[in-house]
Amino acid sequence: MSELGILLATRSKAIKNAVSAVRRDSRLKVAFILTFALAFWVALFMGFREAFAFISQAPAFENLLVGLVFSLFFLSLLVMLVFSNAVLIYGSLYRSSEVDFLLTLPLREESIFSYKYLETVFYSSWAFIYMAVPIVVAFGYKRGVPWYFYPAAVVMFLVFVAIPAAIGSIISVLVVTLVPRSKLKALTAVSIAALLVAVLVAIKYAAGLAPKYNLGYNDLTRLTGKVSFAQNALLPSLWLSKGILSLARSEPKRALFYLGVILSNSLFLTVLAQAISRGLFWKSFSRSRSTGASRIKTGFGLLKRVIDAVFFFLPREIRLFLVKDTKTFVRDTTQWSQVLIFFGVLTIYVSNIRSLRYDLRVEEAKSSIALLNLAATCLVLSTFTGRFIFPLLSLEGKKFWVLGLAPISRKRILYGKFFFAFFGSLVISEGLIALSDWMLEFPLSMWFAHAVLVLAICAGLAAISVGLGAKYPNLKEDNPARIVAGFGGTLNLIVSMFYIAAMVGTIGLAHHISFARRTYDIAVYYRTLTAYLLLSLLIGAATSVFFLNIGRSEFEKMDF
Amino acid sequence: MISLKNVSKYFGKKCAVRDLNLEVEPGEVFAFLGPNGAGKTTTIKMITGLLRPTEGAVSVCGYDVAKQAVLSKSTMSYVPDQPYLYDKLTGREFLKFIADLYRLEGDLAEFKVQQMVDTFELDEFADQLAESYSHGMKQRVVMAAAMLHDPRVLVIDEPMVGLDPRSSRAVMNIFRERSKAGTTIFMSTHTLSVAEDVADRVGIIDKGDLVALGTIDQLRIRSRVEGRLEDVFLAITEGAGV
Repeated sequence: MSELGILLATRSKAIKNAVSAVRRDSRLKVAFILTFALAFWVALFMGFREAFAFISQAPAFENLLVGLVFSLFFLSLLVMLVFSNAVLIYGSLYRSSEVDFLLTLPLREESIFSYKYLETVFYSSWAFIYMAVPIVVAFGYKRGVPWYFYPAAVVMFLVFVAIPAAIGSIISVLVVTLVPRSKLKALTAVSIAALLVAVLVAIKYAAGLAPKYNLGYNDLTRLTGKVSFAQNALLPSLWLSKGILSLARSEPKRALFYLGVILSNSLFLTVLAQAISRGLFWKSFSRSRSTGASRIKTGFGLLKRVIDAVFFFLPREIRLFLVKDTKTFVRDTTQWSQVLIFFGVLTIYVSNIRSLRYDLRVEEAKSSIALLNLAATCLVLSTFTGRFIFPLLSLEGKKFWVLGLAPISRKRILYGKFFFAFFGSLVISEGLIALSDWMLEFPLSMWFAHAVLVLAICAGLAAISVGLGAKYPNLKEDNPARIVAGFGGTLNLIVSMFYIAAMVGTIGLAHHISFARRTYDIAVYYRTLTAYLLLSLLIGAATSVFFLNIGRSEFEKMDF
Repeated sequence: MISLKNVSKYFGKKCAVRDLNLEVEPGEVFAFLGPNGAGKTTTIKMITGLLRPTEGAVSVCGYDVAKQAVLSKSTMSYVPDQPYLYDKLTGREFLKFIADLYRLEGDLAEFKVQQMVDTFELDEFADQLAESYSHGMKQRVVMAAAMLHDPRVLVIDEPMVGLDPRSSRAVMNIFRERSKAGTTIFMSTHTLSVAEDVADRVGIIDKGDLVALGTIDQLRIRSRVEGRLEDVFLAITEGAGV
């Protein structure tokens, strides 16, 4: 068997063992993930089915519009895949202890590279296919395509994913070879800034495309011209789009041509990536490990003074935890970069609400937009608390003796984590929602109502993550992603989702309905608002106390 | 068997290893000692091919580690201080994987795997997933994997970390047997009693410089300290630090 064959056989054995273990140990997790995956898939399918139904109402433009939708959709996926592949392959080639181990074995560097490359293709392609299949099925369903359309489309996707994977891996190897590790943090910041600027430009662009009244022929012509960049013949996403459309039109020869174009480019780029790795992988790997540790200014300095001044009402020990956890967060590029991307994109969107002319819409529509903004902010927040707050206590595991021996009660350690999560979430979320309300030109009563609801949601989400993190800790693991992937992390995700749904979907919605009808009876509205505010605070406080108590009782009797 | 010629390694501006010249002979047990951050692990990583020297050349069994990486690695085994195992493989599956990589075929592979399971007393947990192992259990499996293909050179970073006394004794005995059979053993350790017990020669590195090299008796003469290796080591490294 070849070197690559041995590595892949071992990996598939490990995957088989992992799947058996998951089936044995965590049925709830499997059921939850499958249910959500299916629900999301169905929602995507239905959304696209409606979109294609809408497009088919204008038969004269149908082909043109479908072509536009496909080319834009696949172009966005292509860009996202290149970006995610570059990040994934960087992590898997340069930050994984497995590569340290493999490099000591009699393996050629290109075998190690190919193995990691295939692993990346696998990780990125399943998500791509998962996202792409609903649009294609919805299209096939509306269009009445031949039977071979579906399997052939999947083959095209599988061949296509090698293109962004190869481009991403070439970018990653070249960046590590050419950019010193000490500059990687700065490069990450610049890349995120570039991404946010790109989002800003996209929003401004989209705002320019929106028709003032109903969509007309002129608007359509203008739209086609503005998005013609997605129809560039050199873009792999266009080849895929044309291939899929050819299949749908029962033009197998033409589809085969596009498949050939995609396949030859996939192979070429894969060979190119391999050739680059042969010369550069070991060099770049060694370089990535050859940077001396930089000296960091120690002491608690300004941050400590600010936290002491702002949170003077909290006990000293809890303030110390706030300082420690804030420093850890700021120094961990993975954490701040993800938060910056998610909330940065949301901030750009919210700050462009007026460019999108949402503020000029009728009261009911504005109210719906505000509620959706609230839901989006809370959902992003829950990914933050789930990904970074839930594993906080588990990550103390191996060094728990430091805390265990310190003259501080475990309850305070837990509260320290809670306040860190709560205040961190609060600052970001309140800012975003206030900006959204200002952009939508809502009255102060709406600002106030949203501020209170966000306060309750932040407290609840922080308590859920900290409480369940203490109830289901994984003290042996120091990889937060694996801690989150366990049973406790999954439960945290479910509970957080339900909490958001309950707060936004019932209390928030009820308030918005009442707000929209306030002109009929303002007194009723104020009564509803008062009840809503009290209920929000009550549920937020009850949830916080409940989950913190669960965590505390478990945490206090835990052995380390 | 192991040869380092004018080897230097820089991490940015910091020199981790400076102009190191060292020859380790066949069948020799060589102990590489030094304070924390002296350059021991960096040297080991250059020998095993994890790091490229900034200057100079490293060869193992006559193969240049940079230019003939696969050939040099096929003659040696490396046991790091932090053992790496695949969490979702059992110990036995891991040993089989190593046997495949070193081209041990069919019955020979089975035989060698079982031999290592017996030698390192892995039988009790060899068929459990590695994620359930303690540090010591992992270390034993990694040690077994390192011995599986009868390497001509064995490079070990802290061989006794995490091992219980019984396993430590077994490992020391294996070192002696292997070295008699011609295997070169290059180990870095802070457990000076182990070095004193098994090493034929000792090298001491401090702040990137090889400050002493020779048998323990030669080092005693050089440091003018009679007694244990620990006293000799402290005298030499204190002297080097002045």
